[in-house]
Amino acid sequence: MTARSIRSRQRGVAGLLVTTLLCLATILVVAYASRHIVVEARVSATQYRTAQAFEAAEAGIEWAVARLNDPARVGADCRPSGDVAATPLRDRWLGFQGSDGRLLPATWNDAGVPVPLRAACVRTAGGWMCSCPLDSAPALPSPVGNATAPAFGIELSAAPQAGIVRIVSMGCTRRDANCSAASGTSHDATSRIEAAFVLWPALRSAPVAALTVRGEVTVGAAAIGAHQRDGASGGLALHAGGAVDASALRLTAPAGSSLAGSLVAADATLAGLDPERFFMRWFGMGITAWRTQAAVTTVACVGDCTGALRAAVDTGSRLVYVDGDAAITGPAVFGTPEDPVVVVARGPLRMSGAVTLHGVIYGAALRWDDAVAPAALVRGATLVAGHYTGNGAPDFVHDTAILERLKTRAGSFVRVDGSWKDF
Amino acid sequence: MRTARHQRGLSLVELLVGTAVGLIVAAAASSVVSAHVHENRRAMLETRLMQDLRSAADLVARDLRRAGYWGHAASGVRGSSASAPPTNPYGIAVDAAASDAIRLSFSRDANENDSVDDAERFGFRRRGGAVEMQLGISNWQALNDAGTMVVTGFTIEPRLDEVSLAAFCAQPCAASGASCPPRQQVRSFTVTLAARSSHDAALTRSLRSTVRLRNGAVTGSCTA
Repeated sequence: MTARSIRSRQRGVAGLLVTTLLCLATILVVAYASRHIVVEARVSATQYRTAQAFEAAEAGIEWAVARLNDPARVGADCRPSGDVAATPLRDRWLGFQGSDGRLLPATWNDAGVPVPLRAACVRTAGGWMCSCPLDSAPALPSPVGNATAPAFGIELSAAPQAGIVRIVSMGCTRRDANCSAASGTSHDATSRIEAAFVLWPALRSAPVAALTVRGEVTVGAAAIGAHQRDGASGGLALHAGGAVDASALRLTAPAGSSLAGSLVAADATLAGLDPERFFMRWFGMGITAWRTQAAVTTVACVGDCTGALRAAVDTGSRLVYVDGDAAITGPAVFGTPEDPVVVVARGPLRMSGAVTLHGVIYGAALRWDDAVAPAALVRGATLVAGHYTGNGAPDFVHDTAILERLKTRAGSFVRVDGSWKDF
Repeated sequence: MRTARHQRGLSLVELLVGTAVGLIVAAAASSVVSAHVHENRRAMLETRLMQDLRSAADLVARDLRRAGYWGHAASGVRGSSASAPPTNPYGIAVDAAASDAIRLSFSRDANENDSVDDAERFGFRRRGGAVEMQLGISNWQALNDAGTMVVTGFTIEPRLDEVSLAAFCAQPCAASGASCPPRQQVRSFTVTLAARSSHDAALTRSLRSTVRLRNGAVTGSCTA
């Protein structure tokens, strides 16, 4: 057979071509008819991203308030830092306006322009990664590839009322410029949530006396000193619910008022309070509620608590709770006039030696032995729910400035009802 | 002449076999196409139904979550002054039992005026085959087209969690006090939305979402 005759017998090439074209057309029609599947997939993806951005923004609010209540010193990665120069985030983020107690968000100097400090976190394969620098915008790695990388950016804003701060959280599915602007692709979602938080003070009302004892003061010949130099606070140096047995008591009264007037003993109103009410009178809540608030650090110690307290205060805690008896042995210094501490012990306090504390100390009872002023000193206020005993001669000094500082700056931030909005 | 000799046409047998094969193929193809068209229509209706349902439920959830927002929330915080702080004028009206309607309000003032304006009243209800949203005092806007989706069920089930604030009262409560101690209320709602396609009664879908109100409230007070 010649090649020519083979070709002449091959019929239907055109038919094959036509059939192939028809098949292609059918496939196109089917694909076109199923485009709603594509739309559905796209809508689902959009909704997924919207939910992700919203949840990231919500997480941002919770993270920010947890950081504000966390007394630990943190580094630029927002994690606890051993560096003594590091500061807790609250100190870093919030400035206090002196007279009216307003909270002012901190700023950093961006080429001459003050810009509010921001923090940002991004979800990476290894978990959340955060950045809260002191003097720059947050620096986080840019997301790689097309995968979603939920992130949030935090900024604080001032409120006109004292003790209140607004937290603004921007959530997004891919981080770009702290979530403050939408990133490259149009598929990314952002969400903005705002809520106000109020500082619930560690000390609700400042004690009027340098040493307030609900029970009796029995020190015999020990020369304890109670000093009140501020006439405005009511002028008490020692306020006791029971009898005061202190023959060598050293009292200081405000200038111009009588020494006898600065000592109140056997006050039936004070003695009539039960210990829980006594605590509540100063701290504004029960002792159990106080210890569970976010900013309080509970110290676990048996016997001598000096080391454990020392460690807690050194890591940044300003509100310390001991669930039981506490023995504090000098020499030891807690707090400074600018940075006072509150130590609350559920059980009796036994102090000995040169212990200096700036702030407020509370115990179910207080015994202070082997102490000589001025190395043994409580500057601020001392609150004793039971009796005061001991052979030591410490000084108790009422300090209005320290108490005011604790009233307006120490405590936990709690959410303000009705302040949450996402628009 | 040579070309004409080669055009022989088809024999009868070839024609019959060809037609038979063609018919069989066409029959199979047409059944496949008809099934596809049917499935396609159903899938499209499902998508549309789901889409309508989802957007309605999203709107309900989003607005419910905002209930109680107040521009002056910070002034409701009890300060050092003895006078009672102002109370939040915005909130949500809740029946104890599940219902098919709810009313709520939140602030939209650029400058907070501490009163619930007409434009700040919102609500949801079911009327006929549509879920309606209240915008303004008596303006109800349907969230879905009853010609596409018929809403057959819309229930809002409230849930109330309370945290006692007894630890913050200076005086212990009397045993019989209903309003003492004060409680922090945390509300959540389970919204169930059921609907069917108006083009295909057999096609039904339902969506259930639980919404926690972000703006809680405190009820009750301590004994004076």
